[in-house]
Amino acid sequence: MRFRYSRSAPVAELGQIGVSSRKRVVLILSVAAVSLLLPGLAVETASAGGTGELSRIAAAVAKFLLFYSGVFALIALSAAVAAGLLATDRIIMTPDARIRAQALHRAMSLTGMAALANHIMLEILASRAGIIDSFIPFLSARNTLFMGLGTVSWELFIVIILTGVLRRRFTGGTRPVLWRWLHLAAYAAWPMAVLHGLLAGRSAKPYINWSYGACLAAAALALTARYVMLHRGRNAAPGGLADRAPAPFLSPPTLLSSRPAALARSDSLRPTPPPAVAPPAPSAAARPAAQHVSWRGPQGPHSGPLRALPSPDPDEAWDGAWLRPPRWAGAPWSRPGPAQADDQDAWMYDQDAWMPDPDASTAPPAAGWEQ
Amino acid sequence: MDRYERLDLAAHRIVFGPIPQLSATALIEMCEHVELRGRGGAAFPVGRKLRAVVDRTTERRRAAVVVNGTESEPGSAKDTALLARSPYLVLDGAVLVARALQATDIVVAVTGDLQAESVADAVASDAALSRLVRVVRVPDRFVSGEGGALINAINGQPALPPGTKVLPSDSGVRGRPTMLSNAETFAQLAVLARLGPAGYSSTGLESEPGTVLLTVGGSVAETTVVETPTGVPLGHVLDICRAEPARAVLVGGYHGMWISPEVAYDLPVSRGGLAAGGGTLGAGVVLVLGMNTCPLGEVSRVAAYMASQSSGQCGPCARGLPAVARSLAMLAAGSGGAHELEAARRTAAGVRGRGACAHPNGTANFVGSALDVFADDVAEHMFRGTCGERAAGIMPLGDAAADARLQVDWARCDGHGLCSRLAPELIKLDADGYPEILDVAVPFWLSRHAAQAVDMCPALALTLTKPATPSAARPTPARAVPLAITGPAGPPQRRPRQLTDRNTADRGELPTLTGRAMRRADLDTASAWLSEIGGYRRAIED
Repeated sequence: MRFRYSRSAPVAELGQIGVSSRKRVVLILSVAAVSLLLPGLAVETASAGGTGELSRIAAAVAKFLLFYSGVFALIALSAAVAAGLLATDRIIMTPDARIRAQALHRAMSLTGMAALANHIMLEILASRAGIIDSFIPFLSARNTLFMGLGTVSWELFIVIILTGVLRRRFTGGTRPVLWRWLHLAAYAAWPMAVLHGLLAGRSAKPYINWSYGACLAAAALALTARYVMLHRGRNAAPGGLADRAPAPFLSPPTLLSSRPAALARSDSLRPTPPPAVAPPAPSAAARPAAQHVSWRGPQGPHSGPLRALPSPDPDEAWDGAWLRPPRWAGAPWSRPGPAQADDQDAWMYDQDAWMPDPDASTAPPAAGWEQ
Repeated sequence: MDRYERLDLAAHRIVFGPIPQLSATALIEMCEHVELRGRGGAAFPVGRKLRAVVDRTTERRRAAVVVNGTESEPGSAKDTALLARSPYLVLDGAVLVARALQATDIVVAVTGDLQAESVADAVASDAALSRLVRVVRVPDRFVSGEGGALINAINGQPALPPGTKVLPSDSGVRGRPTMLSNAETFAQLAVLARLGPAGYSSTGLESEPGTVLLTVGGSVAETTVVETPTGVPLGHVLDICRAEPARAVLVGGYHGMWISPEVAYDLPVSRGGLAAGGGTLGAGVVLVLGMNTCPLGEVSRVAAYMASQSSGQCGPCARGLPAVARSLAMLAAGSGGAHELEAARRTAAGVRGRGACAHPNGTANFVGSALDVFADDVAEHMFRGTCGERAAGIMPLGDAAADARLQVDWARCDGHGLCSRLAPELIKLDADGYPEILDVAVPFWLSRHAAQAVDMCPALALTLTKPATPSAARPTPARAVPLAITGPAGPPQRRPRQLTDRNTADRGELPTLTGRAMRRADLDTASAWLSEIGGYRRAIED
């Protein structure tokens, strides 16, 4: 008998765990709606010609927004550029601070765009700009150049914001490069916006002009610094690896000992006979018994200072010199002892040769203290 | 039953006969007489659970019955086997309990299409059943099978365990006293009610009479559900399932313990017997780890899976299990020394008892016993970096490809380190400041953090890979859950499937769930076959 599946029987699907990924879209849409509806509503109410409290308030709001929304947009977008630049910095910013700077960057961009939408809407309602002017640049009869700059920068900002919201889609493959170039358009759009803000409308006070000039200069400086750091960074940009001068290669021997490689080599070629008089081991006597670190030591097997094997010089033929016991600071290369003379690997079984001498380099000689 | 892919109602009536009607008192006495315990893993006495529900039932608050068929443990298949191939037996048990408790509602909770359609089909074929029984599908996640999570799901809430323990007998389906137990428990109840305590106790140990369903998987010929009387040596079951020579045996599933084969093969299959050997019966999952894989690698894969299966509600579990998994992954990769070993042990011990459900405890048991049993392998990994084998993926981990994963474009990554601050559970920085990503599917409770890390990566080097679309191929019940043991390839057509004790070998009564009499001859056939092929236990000694 075969088991046939029945489609008619009801099976309730329960207990699903919902993960909302649309929150951000809802936020952006609602900000856009509010920023467009609020001025429209205010102007409508004000122009309805009522004499009540409401129309007075509406008129005041409309007037305030007409006067200031462009200012707010420019300030917010400048702050967004500053926060974005700050978020890329690795010198003075910690990762946590960079995350906060990115959050500020996003919040300021969204605020700026909302204010910008508000500004354009009100300018159109106030008949200071046409609907066509807000989409096609350089058609305005009045102040053609600086009005046009405003239009261009607004359209660029739309592209930048949209790709910024969709940034996740640009990861993987070669798409990050595309995203970077699109996002770099901000450095073109923002100065245009500043020029539009200062020169398209009413004439600004001198300190305003100076402030924006300083902002532009600071951003240029920061960009230069960022460019320089990009080429000094770890991997730099993709493709930047080839441009960099090769970093000095820190080979283990330079870290380990100052002993010339040639000397070490001659040691191995010609095994040193045990000296007649055993050289006084500088530490063995002075080291207290309690400090004697066993192989598996109290801190575990791998807890001692890292012992990098001195690697052979690649230019020279391998001669096995690096198989010698490591030369801890002050310790002689060849140790006296019966095993060493005939057994090349004896050092592997010699505990003292494996372990660093804890007080050889740091502690002053015991004799010095006695005096 | 191995002759049928699925027992329909008619076949079920022929094999098992009609179900008796019992009062609550009679049922409780029966359960307590044979000391029937829940088969979902916690082994709570069924009699005591029934008594609690009876005590809390009033005229206005009638009881409900919940059959927990959500087998969220990837290694387990016994409830799937029962629900897909013998749904009427489980429903019989549920109806028996519902009548005894005068319950008005039976809810059967499952995770898969296979079980859901089998049960729904069974319910639809009987008018009385379809008035009483509801079938509910819950998400297939490890902790959604926990009792409290299941009750939440049935009540229309997310399938997450409640933060503090709520007994279903106090407040279950719509706040009513609820008898919630595993599907196998209800099947056992149905068998117990038909046979009576004496008949039921005629097989198995004196202390724990009856049979248990085991799911034997891992390095075996085929993942198999076996019904065996208690007291049979585990080695016998493993031999019959054609287990490969084992490095270790995991009993009790991923909340259970590892046991070395020398101990495991002689342990009797029973709660007491396995506990005496340092294991646990749990939900009857037995996973064999063969020789041709890296044990530590397997353990680390499972630990990462368990970390991702946390529901992320309780801090110690949400933070601790990923940390354990990361330490184990480093040990397995050879980059972790004694420090990571100590960290894994300490963190695993630290999460014990600090969560709403048993998930942290069970995982701590799993990791702790693994580090004990595989101590030699761990040492080899610590000092040589590898044991020479690759983790072959013997341990089943569910459908791993279905979820998104984090991926790093290493050519772009510049070690900015923002990701590790945004998703610390998934990403840690190494000594050079580059990310080390826990190799798991991003769980739902970390998806926002992971997405944020992707959004904020300054180098756009982090990607969330798209989940692959699950394959549409639907297994038939027999393909999904091989219930019969495949015997020798040669002549014997009637294949031995069950083991039995001597005292029941020739009885007419059937104290079994799978409903086929097990005669002495069957056992002899099995033994003969085993001796013919030399037996796998002896193969190890060779």
